[in-house]
Amino acid sequence: MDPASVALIGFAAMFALIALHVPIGVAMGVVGLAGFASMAGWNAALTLLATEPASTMASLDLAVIPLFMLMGSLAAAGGLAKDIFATAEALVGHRPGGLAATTIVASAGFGAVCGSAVATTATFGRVALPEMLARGYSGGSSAGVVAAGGTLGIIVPPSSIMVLYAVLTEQSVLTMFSAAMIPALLSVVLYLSAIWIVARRNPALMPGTDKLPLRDRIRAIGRSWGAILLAIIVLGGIYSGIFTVNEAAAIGVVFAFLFALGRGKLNRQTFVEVLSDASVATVMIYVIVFGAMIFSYFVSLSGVSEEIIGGIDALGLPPAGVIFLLILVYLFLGAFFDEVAAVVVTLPFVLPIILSMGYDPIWWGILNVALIGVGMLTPPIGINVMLLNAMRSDISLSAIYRGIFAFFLADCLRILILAVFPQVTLWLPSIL
Amino acid sequence: MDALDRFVRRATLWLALLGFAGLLLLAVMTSLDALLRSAFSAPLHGVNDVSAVVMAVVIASCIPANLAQRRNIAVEVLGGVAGPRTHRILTLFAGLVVLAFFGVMAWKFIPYAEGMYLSGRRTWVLAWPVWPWWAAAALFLVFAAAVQALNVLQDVIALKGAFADRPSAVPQTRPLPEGDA
Repeated sequence: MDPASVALIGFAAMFALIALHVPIGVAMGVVGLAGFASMAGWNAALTLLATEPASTMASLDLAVIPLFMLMGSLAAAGGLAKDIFATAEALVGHRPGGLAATTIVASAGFGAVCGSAVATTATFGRVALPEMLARGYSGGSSAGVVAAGGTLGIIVPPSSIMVLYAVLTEQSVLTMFSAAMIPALLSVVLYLSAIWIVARRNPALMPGTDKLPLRDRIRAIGRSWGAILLAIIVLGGIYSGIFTVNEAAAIGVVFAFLFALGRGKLNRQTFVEVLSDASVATVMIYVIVFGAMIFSYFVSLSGVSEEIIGGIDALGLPPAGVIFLLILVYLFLGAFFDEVAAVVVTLPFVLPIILSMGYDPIWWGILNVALIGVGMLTPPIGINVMLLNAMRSDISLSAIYRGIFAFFLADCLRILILAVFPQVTLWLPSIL
Repeated sequence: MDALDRFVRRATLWLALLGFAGLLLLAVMTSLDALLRSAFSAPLHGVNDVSAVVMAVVIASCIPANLAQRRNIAVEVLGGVAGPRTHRILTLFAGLVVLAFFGVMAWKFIPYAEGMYLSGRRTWVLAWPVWPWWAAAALFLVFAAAVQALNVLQDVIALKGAFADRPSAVPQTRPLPEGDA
């Protein structure tokens, strides 16, 4: 059997294992191992099972992920999310859509100190959702806002998935973060526009709050000093070149720890919970990377990527057509996989296609993250939606999906803009 | 059996906590290094050396807890649609695959750590021997495989209970985590 056929069988076997409840990282690892063994022998394959996880565990580039995870957990424990929410409410709460707009701005702000969409959704599911429901927002609308806002956790740098993409594609993490700045801003603007349109059409659905006097609004900004300082230290340190990404993440961890401690929010039990949450979430990512590394060896050895590129060439599709097809594939995958898995499973196949067409891998990385964000909102298994439904079972899935619709349209527009105008992504890294 | 299960799961939690407490210490060291370097041009020597060896141990120390809490990302749609018995069969199958994966990984890590010992490899700046760290990582992986074996045993008992149609015989398993789909 030729290697390309082995690779295609391997791909099918991987999906079959995933469908049979095998964790995604393990499914990739097992299939990668068996496929690699079928071409290079079992001795070489079994050696991979030690060397690849070992190099992943010792990688200093990937060490940023547990640090960001820990920083996010400490920030949440220290009450930074509540501070950011209070500030955002004072600034935009009186506008159409009031608390909904507040949630989006606060989610973006929290995204700057936490690199995970699921963590952002869970945090604001606790902080913002009860507030909106108490002020008369419908369950579907409020959960929809939180779910959409949660996706900002991965598009606003720093973002764990961007670190992972950069490491796996051998790109600069700093360039990825710079490239994400304008798309992140665009996402916030489009989400706020969606809220504004919905609130204007049906003010009862999303009532605004009273406008605070200027003095109170300035005071509210002051209340978020911890979050603002943390974002400045981490992002400012990275962009100014004073710190490396690892150093900025480490300083962020220490700051978030001292802040939570100083506020009296970190007792023994919370500290244990923070460490436990961050450690388990970190290993979830590492297990996927173990599998992805082994699977990538198998895919590279099989040469299937070249065959796929040849097949696409034979179709005669223009590059834009290929990108459009890939966008559809990712929207589909994103509805089934979590953010890390969808990127990692496809990267060995998709990246060679992107590079062969002459596209910038940084541009594709940002587009990829944005697409995964959309997938986290779309049925059948938008993971943010499932999470909110698990947190508030009185809000039905269909109601949340209805609440998301306006944001889905905003996301489609964002994807279109990012795909058609690569300079939206690439301009900032080019001048920094 | 229950007492052993509780003991092992508690041990995984403490191991992970110890690992991440180590990460916190590493973050403090890295911060000091960065601040001393940028403020006084006097960096701490060997921080990268420490990071490279400690990170492997930190991650390996968290794997048993991750397995004990069944917190790996999996798509459990089929079992959800097909009913509780099929769900338990699939859980057992997935558990066996995970056991095989981590079992073989632990098995291959032992000669890997041994290779580090035999080659006498040391870190660049501090010249620390590397093998003790990898030996610790290998040990934690062996523990992780044992934890997964316990999970599988629990799944077998749960499946037996489900087929005997005695719901009370089914041991409590953890609910699906927030991150799972």
